This record gives sequence, structure tokens and C-alpha cells, in this order.
Amino acid sequence: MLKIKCLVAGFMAAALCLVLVGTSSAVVYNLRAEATTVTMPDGTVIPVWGYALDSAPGAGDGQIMVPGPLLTVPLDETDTTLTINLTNKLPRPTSIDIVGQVMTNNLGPVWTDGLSDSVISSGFRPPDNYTARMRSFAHETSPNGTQTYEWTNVRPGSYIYKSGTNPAMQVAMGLYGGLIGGSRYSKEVILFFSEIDPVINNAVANGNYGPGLPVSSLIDYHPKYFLINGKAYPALQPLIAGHANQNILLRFFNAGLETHVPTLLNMPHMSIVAEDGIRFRYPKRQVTIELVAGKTVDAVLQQPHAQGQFSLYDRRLNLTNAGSATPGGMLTALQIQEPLVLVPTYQLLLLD
Amino acid sequence: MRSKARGKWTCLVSIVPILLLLLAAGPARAVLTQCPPGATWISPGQAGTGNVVCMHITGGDGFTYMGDGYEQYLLSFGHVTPGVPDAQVLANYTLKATFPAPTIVLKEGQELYLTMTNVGMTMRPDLFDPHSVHWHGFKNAAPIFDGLPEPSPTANMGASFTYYYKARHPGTFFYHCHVEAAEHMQMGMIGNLWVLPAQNELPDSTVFPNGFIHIQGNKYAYNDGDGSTYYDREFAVQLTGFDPAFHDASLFVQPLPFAAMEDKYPMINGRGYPDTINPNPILNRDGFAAQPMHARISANAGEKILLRVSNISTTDFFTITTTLGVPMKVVGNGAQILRSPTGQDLSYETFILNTAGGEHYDVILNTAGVPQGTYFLYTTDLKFLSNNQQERGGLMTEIVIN
Amino acid sequence: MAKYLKIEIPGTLLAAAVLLLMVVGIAGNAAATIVGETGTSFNLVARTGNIITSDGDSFLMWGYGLESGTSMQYPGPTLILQEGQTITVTLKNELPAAAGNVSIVFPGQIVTASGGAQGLLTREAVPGSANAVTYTFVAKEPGTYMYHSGTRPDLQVEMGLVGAIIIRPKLGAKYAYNHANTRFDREFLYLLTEMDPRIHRAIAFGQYNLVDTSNYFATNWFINGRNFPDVMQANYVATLPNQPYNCQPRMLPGETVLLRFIGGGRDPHPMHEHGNDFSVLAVDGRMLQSAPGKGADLAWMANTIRVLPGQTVDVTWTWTGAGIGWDIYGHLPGQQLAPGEDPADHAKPFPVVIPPRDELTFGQFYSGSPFLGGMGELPTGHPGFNAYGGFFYMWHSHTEKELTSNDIWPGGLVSFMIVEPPGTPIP
Ligand SMILES: [Cu+2]
Ligand SMILES: [Cu+2]
Repeated sequence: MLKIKCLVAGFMAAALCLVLVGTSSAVVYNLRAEATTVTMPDGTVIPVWGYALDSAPGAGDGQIMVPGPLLTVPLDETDTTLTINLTNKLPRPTSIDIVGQVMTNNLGPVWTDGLSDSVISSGFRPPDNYTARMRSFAHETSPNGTQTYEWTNVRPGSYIYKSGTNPAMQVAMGLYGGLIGGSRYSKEVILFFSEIDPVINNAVANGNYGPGLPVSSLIDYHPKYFLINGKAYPALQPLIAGHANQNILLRFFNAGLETHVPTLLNMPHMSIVAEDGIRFRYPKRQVTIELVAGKTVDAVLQQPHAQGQFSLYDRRLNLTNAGSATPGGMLTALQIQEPLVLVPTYQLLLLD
Repeated sequence: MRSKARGKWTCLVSIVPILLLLLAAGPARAVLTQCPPGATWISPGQAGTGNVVCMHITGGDGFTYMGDGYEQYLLSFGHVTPGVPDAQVLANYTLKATFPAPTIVLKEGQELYLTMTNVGMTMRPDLFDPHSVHWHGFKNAAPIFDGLPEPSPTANMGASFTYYYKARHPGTFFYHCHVEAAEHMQMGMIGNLWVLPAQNELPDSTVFPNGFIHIQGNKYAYNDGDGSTYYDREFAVQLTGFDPAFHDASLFVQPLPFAAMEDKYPMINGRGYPDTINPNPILNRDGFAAQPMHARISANAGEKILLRVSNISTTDFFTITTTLGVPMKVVGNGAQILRSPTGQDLSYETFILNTAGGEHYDVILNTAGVPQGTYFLYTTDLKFLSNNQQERGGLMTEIVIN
Repeated sequence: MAKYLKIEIPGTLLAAAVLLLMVVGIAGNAAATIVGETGTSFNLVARTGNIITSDGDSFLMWGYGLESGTSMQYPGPTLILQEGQTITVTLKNELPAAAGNVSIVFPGQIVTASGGAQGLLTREAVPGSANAVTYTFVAKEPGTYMYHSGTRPDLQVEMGLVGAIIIRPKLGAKYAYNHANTRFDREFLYLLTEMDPRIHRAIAFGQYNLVDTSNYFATNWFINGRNFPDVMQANYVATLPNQPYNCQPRMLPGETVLLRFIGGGRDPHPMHEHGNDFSVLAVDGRMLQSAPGKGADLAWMANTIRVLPGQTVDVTWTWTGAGIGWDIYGHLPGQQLAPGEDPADHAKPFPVVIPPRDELTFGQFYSGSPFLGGMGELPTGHPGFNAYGGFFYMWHSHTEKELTSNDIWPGGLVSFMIVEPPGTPIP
């Protein structure tokens, strides 16, 4: 059986098609975790850890991105399983965790002896040991290794995959991306929020992060760069959203460590239909969305009244690039095109 | 205090009247419990029998250890063992504050006579702060028993005040001292307070309108009328944090850094990971079990777990999630069953619950279908997975499914 | 413990201040409703001005003021609109040139802007220009909203360019929305903001380059532009010339009050109500309803509500004292019931003995009696703030560090609802 899966790398606004060969009913993604750098609008270059989509485990032909590539599992009759082959090119062990999805081949969790790097147990805490610390929610992929993570019954909706190993540090470094269960909605916008505190990233990159080192926890995390889809204004261009007489789905993700409050100006109230992949019984009509750390929210713009560009920004006013006096941060616009001639007939059955 | 340019009139109008009056301290102080004849004395974490119950707690100071071993001075309440004569309380109960403060469990309809004795702060003989008990979320309260120092009297050092409550509403509450709340709550004066619903006491085999059959011994979070808040096991998830700069300033008699306050030790039930999973009490410098409560959650697969969640941080919101893979079903908020005035079911499922200071939630985890194993409850505000400068700590605990 | 502060203030001064607050404050308070500007056309000017905080400090602000006046105000004028009307707001810019352009955005409204210069979020007023920007929108749906600067909002909202909008429904002025179950007897505004004083100091000294809004760390918190206890003083009190709005809720037992919360700053605040639970009717100016026409049938009850930046929340609250287990009026058997009193508790004795006075600290709002309308003996020097023997309930942020004004306790996000005994005149 030959299948062609199209992955829309929403962050790159480009389409990438994968050819999956074989009889497996799973959707397989070959992710590679590796260090790279990102450049902020003020020219600051920051070391990050990101994910790339490779054509085969360890092939190394994908581009490292932050956020990582958007993964989809169509959830048609056959494809309800997500398989990620994770290749680790980082100096530390890593793993994958998805809040709201059940990993079905989890050989972890992994505990170390205190804060040390010495693994003393997998699967269960050593009996009567109250000092071992969880390092990974799931089995780890060692540096230069490859491991498989599998979710056989993927739930529909919007999710975030991220590092499940020392997540405070590794997520702050950039190891996160979006996952969509179910078919992509034709008129949808991906809005992936995250932050960077360069102090953390530089410490990790320079070997200054860890027990006994200058930076030893994330407690003093204070982000300076505020990103949507990996970019800060003005690097972030308006996002093509759809037409003025269409229902447009906005998928909000927050892999940051802080709460953001996306707000849309000059538009009718959004209908918030789901969070964490779970539909609300009744949609909430709001101007503001509470997007706490790790959360996803799906909202619908019901047939915007007009075409044009409509500002979308973080009402927590993270609108600067490291203190710049000119606008920056979590600010973009939705580009609504002229009305379509044909009125679409689809309903708001977005996630079922 | 910091020096400031200050207009004369603002001094008069703005600063002065807000101060609590500290009235002349007389010598005649008495520890005095008030408990009606025939009432039952209750112990922390255990509901008593009978319509009238009594409890005696102290307000004082003590010491605890954080997840990284750092010692923290704190203020909190302690429990006075029933039977200890009033006259011995001041002598026996200094430096016996626990964190969290003793858990109070009541049955709906019970009347509670709660005596709080201010045993003073042993490490701060210069302080004469009164203390109070504020039952957070009490419905239709009167100021005299609301514990707010501004519209009520509060007990000075060496004195007792008895609070009276008729527990008309079931749910997950908490209590705290409301005297100089930013200070006394940051310092630790917070405890759980749960009221068990009358529905627990229904006769065996009572059939609800939806067909749900109540079996004697069934436990519910609320009087739901349909079994929707049934649970097998309940666990406290009390979310708090300490700011070591503030606690150390208090211990070392320095000006308190209110403006700079930031929680650096996020905790569940008074502990940072991995202390959260230690089933034993944590002993302080005096060998006293100052941190009596762990946060390890365990259940048999298929059971329903009730999390009694509260956030009493003075600085931060905290989210929680679990790795169980099942949604958190939120059935109560603010000790109210999630139902509208017209009876609409407002309970909801989520994977990440946000909590703000002063919020309390009832969350049910249905473990049906969850494989045996060890899972985690943790904050997605990942910076709070820290015991101050120590990583892989903080606001996390383990869930063991057998 | 602000003990060092306590020692500093002589007792006589305390008593004098207490009397002063009694005169200009609670007793003279006229706020039984929300004050603001009504009409369909508003001419605003952005200006600089100073505000006074409860710790005795003073801060440079940028605020919206009425063109007919000469100053700014914090927050900007509360615009009280009628559903269905077409609203025009003009804005001129009298801020210093270094502040740059200024503007207004109206989240939740669909606005047409003209004049001025095109900015990032909307059209902007240029400093010193007579050419005003004009914003027009239809007050389409009733509810609670806000307006704020859409020009470098991370700086300009912090500097004070924020205000409240109330759109009254066609159903009537005593309804929050067009449904009978949103009726209220009294309403109060809670526009919440916060301040990082470092930013205001830098701007005051012209050191714009020192402003780094990514370091934002609030240490001062406001309700309607004032800290506690200044919120208890009268509206338009002369001593707070640029902070006209108070927050002093008062009511009689059994009444329903509407609280309009607005998250005007950039941090979320958990607002907690002592005394009873409230019912959440609406968020962002939309009733919580399962279908049109149902009213707020999805309303939920709680005692603490997260007010997010940019968000508005409407709640109703009532208090009767029912079921408390003793007679809150201290009636003896045979005495008449007070209006609305719970008959089940009538003449039930007070359940405990209150210890002798010298074992207790009396708060400034304690009447000396546990009973509603009761008055007891107060120690010498007690201010006697509680003129009618009312029940005081603190309504405050439960992020308790926000109960301070720039390091001084108490202050910040605190107000007191006073449930006055039946018959008390409340203006
Ligand atoms: Cu409280
Ligand atoms: Cu309170």
C-alpha cells in the first residue's frame, strides 16, 4: 500500500509531501532533535534546540525548526496511530510527551539518583526511595540514538508535542511543536505562541546549565522574546486566514512557560469551541483567550464582516523584542480575503 | 521603610487610617477553648460524629525544609491534641506550626466551634501580631467569624478566639489567617477545609432519578442527585509557594520585601518534588513533624480519584496536568457544584487546569482503562518545576495506579 | 509586617486622619452607581498628569481627559453608552512629542477610524496636531467593555491610557443585558490596573531609552485608578484630582449588586469576594447562555474570578445572612424580624463568648458588636469607621502581594463591600 501524506508546515507556509510506504496503518514521522540558532528581529542570535522532519530515521535531511514541524494524524478509518521515530543529535537524552494523548509503548518513566545523571530505575520508582527524581516521562533517546514513540489511539483536536525529558529546560530550549488529530480544516490558521529567555539558552549552549552550574533551574526564567509561529513582530507577517464569508478556525498553541491572552481587534467575538482537544458543550464568545502554558485552544471566527487585515496580539502586552522601543513580540494580523462567491455549506463540526 | 517624597495631605488622608490599631496590651490573657457540652472533638483529616464538633488550633511559628533541603521559617497553625488542658497550651505548643495547617473535615450540617489560640512567634519576640481564621468561600458569612481583622476582633498573643460555623454547604474549601494577609499567608498560615455532603449519608440502595443507585459508603463531592461527583479516593492538591527572601527577612527581623515577593519554592501540600511523594512526615530541626502531609496519589485502575485542588499562592497562578492520559473532569469550583441556576450541567473536561490564588476546584480523574504504572501530576508552568535554584523539583508529584 | 510604619505614626495624627476620612470618605460617599460620561459623542485628549498612590507617592501618567477640561484622568472617562447608538470618539494628542503618537482601540467593537496618521493597530493622533483622529462605532451589544491605547500599548497602557465602556441595554438601566435575569439594584466598577514604577520614573526624567517593557514587574495595583484605602473616598474628591473614580460598594441585605470587572493592565488578577459567592453572568460583554434568548442560563457561582488582561467579567452578588445559625440582628425571643431576615435563625443566641477587649485587636471597621446594625463599646482611640453597624466584606485580589502599594501594606487591590442594616440611607 502506498500512501501520500501531505504535511503543511504551517510555520514555513509551505507544503511538504511525505511518501509513506508499507502496510502500516500508522502515520510515521521521523523527527530529529538537534541544536541550531534562531535570529531575532533585533539581530540577536540565540542558540536553540529544535526538531526537524527527516525522510528516514537519522537521515538528517530535514531542517531544524522552532516550533518543530506541525504533525497531523488524519484519523480516517485506518490512520489512528501516531508513530514518532526520534533521533537525538543533542548532547542530552530526550524524549517526546504529548499532554492529552496516551503513549502506548511507554517504557518509562525514567528516574535518576537524585539530581545526578545516573539512571536508577525505569517504569517505577525504586521501592522505599524518596529521593530519586523523574528525568523523563517516557523512555529516553540517548544522544546519537533513535527511539520510537507510539500513540495507537490518537484523540482528535489540537495538541502540543514537546520534550518529556527535563521538560522545564528542554521546552525552554525550543523542543516543541503542534499536533493535529483529525483532518485539517481548509480555512484554519495556526497560531503557535512561545517565548525565549536568552539567559537560559546561552547557559545551556555554553555548558553553564545544570546542578552546581551558574544556571541550575528555570525558576528565574524571564523571557525577552515573544514569538508566534517562531517569529516576533516585525519578522512575523500577516497570516492568510480565509475569506470574509467563511468560518475560519484559529488554532492557538502555547508552548511558552507563561500565560498569553490572544486578542483580535475589530472583529466579531471569537467562538471558542475547544481546549486541549476537548470540545466545549457550548462555545464561549470572547474577545480574549486565556492561553496558559501548554494549552491549546480552538476558536472560530464566524464569517468575518469584512476583508482586510485584523490585528491579533497578546493582551498581556508582550509587544517588545527584548525591550525595543519599536513594536515587537506577539503581534500579527489575520489577512481576510474578499468574500467568496459561493457560500460554503460546511458546519462547525471541526473536531468530530 | 524607604524614604519618599510625600505631600502633607496625602500622609494624612492616605497612609494613616489604613493601619490596624494595635491597642494596649493588657496582662490578663487566657487560653480558653469554647466547646458546648456533648460536642465531639475532631482531629485533622477526620470528620467527627454528632451535630456539634470542636477543634483547637494554635497560631504561631515554626520551621520546615524545602525540597532542596533549605530551611524555612514560617508562620502557621498547629493542632492541639484534644484533652490537653488550656493552661498547658502556651507551654506545649510553641514552634509547633505545621505546613499545611491542620486539615479540617466536617460533615454537612455540623456546627464547628473552632478555637484558635495565638501562641505567639517564638523566633520573633518583637512581634505582637494577632492571628485569625478566615474560612475562605464560606457562604453568607458574618464578619465576626470571617477572620478579617478590619471588621472584627482578632486574638492577641496568649489569647484565644472561638469561631462558630454552621457547615451548610459541602465542598472543597480552605482556611487561612487574614491578618496582614500578604505576609501571614506567604509565611504559611493556610490549611485545607472540606465539608462532606449529606448525600454520603443516604440510606443504602437509594435510587436517584437518573437510575444511579447509592450504596452505603459511597462518597460524593457534592449533593449531585445523580452520582456524577462519586469518587473512590480523595487527595489534597494544595498549591502554594514560598519566597525564601521573604521568609528569611521575617526570621532575621529585616524589612519585609512585599514588592519583590516571588515564589521560588512552588509546592504541593507544603512540599516540593520529590518530597511530595514521601509518605512519611518530614521532621524539622526539632524532630517535629512540621510537614505532615505528602502528595503521593495512588489508586487501583478503574477507581475514581477526587483531587481537592486549591491555590493559595500569594504571588502566582499555577496550572496542573497529569500524564494519565485521561481528562480532568472539573465538577466543582469555589465549593460549588458546577451547575447553573437553571440546572445546566457546567462540569467540563480539560487536560490542563489553571488555578489562581483563592481558587479551589474539585477534579475527578477516572482511571478506567489506565494501565498500571507510575504517572505524574505536574505544572505546565514549567519554571515551577524547581525547588528554587534546583531543577527537577517543585510543583510535581507521582500518581501510582495499581 | 509593616511594623516599622506603625511605630512611625503618632496616635493623635491617626485620630485626626480617621475623622478626615469619615468626613470626606465613607459618610460622604455618593457612589451608589457608576459615574462617568454619557452621550454619543466624546472629545478626548491624551495629556500628562500626576496621580497619588496610597503610600503617599506620586507618579507621572499619560491619560485620556475630556477636551472640555484641562487635565487627564486615570483611568480615562468611563463612557456610558446606550445600546444601538452610533458613537463618535475624537482624540487629540497633547502628550510630549517624545511620547509619539497616541490612539484608542475598542476591543469587542467594530470601529471605523479616520483622520490622524495610520498606525499599526489603528489611526493615531499626532502630537501637537489640531487634526484629531475620529473613531466611530455602533454600540451594538450591551455589556462591559474597555478602551485603551493601540499605540505601543506595552508602554502607553502602562502609562495610564485605558478606560471603561458600559453599554446599557434597551431593557432598562437596572439590567446588565437584555434579559430579566440580569437585573440589579446597584452596580460597581472594578477596572483593575497595575504599575511598574520604574517605567514612570524613567519617562518622568525623559529617559525613554531606559524603558524596557520586557522587564515589566508590577509593584503597585489599582481599582478605578486608586489604591486601597483611597478607593473608599468619594468620587471626584478634590484631593485626588486626576483619579475621579472611587470603589465603595454599599448595599442593604437582600439587594442584588452588579460588579463590572475589567482587566485593564497586563497581569491577570483573581478577585475574591468575602461574604458570599457571586454569579458570573457575562464575559467580554456576552451573556453566558446556551442559546439566544435564554438569558445567562450558563451562569456559574464562585468566590474568586480570574480577571484577565483585556477581559471583562460581569457578576452579580447578594447577601442575606440566611442560615448562619444565630440571629445576625441579635434579636431576643418575641422581637420583630428585620426585613428579609431568615426566620429559622430568629432569636437564636450568639453562639460563643467574645473574649475580653484587652485580649483582642479591634479592626477599624468593627462596630464593637457582632450584630448587623449593632454598636458596641470601642476602645479609646478606635476610629469608629463603621457609622451604621454595617457588615464589611473585603473584596480583593487573592494574589495577596497585590494588597500592597509599592511595598507598603495595606494598599493595592482591596475594597470593602458594606452591607448596611435595613433602613440605612445609601445615596
Ligand atoms: Cu482567602
Ligand atoms: Cu480575603
